[in-house]
Amino acid sequence: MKALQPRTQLIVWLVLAGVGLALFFSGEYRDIPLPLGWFGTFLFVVAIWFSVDAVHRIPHSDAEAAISPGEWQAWIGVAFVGAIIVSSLLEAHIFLPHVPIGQNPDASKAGEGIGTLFVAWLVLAYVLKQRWAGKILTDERDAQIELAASQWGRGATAFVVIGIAVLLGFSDTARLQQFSYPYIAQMLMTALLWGLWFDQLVAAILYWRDRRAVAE
Amino acid sequence: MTGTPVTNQIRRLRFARGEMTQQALADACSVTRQTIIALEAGKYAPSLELAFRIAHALGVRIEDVFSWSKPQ
Repeated sequence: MKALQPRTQLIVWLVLAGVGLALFFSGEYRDIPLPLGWFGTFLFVVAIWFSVDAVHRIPHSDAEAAISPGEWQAWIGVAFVGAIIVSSLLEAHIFLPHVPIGQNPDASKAGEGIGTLFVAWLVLAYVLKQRWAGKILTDERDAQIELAASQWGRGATAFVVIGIAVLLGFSDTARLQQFSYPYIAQMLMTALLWGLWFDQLVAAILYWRDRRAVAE
Repeated sequence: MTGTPVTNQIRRLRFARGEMTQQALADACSVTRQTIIALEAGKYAPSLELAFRIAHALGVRIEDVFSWSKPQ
């Protein structure tokens, strides 16, 4: 591993951390006579430890410095929340049976996938904060951008919640009986995630637009 | 980000102070380098507090750094 460039080392460690996280969430449920969940936890902790070490050794480039920490975080948020929404939508049908989520093994499995993505997002954000340790991460301009983005995010959430309300309100009885409570809960969670994604997207676009306007 | 009626002399004053870098000024004012870049390009109007911090970091009065022209 030492022969690799610090940037390559970081990528390898982050991939290994992802593998560890996936094993932690799903390992114990596989029919393999090995403590995969325990191995996943160990791999995750070791990989994060070495990735933080690698992140300190990567030289700062001009291209990286041109983008503010807030913009990096916004684009990463767009990617991860987008992946979580896609994962939720692809597995939405799992919540259709009229069974509590705790008694639906498929729903638990879907939740593990979403949980893995959330934890991976938090870990990546932590590793990046280590990279920017000692730097100013946000200031009043970032606060203005975040305020504008959160207003758009609130609007997007309200739009989808009204859409769900109209959908439920105007559905006939036969159709309503197909919507289980877990499915409606899943729809509301996806609406919240959509608002968060839109918030991150608007922030990322505002940062990008600012950067372009200055470059012109 | 649109233009602002608040114009400034940050770039000129930075160079007058021994070619102070954007990052050094940003650190002195507790803002990101991107905010200094946006200010110099005239694409962002700072808060009153930030304007005072910039003037203090450059060792001049606030009116020596910033001026306001009435929009047409």
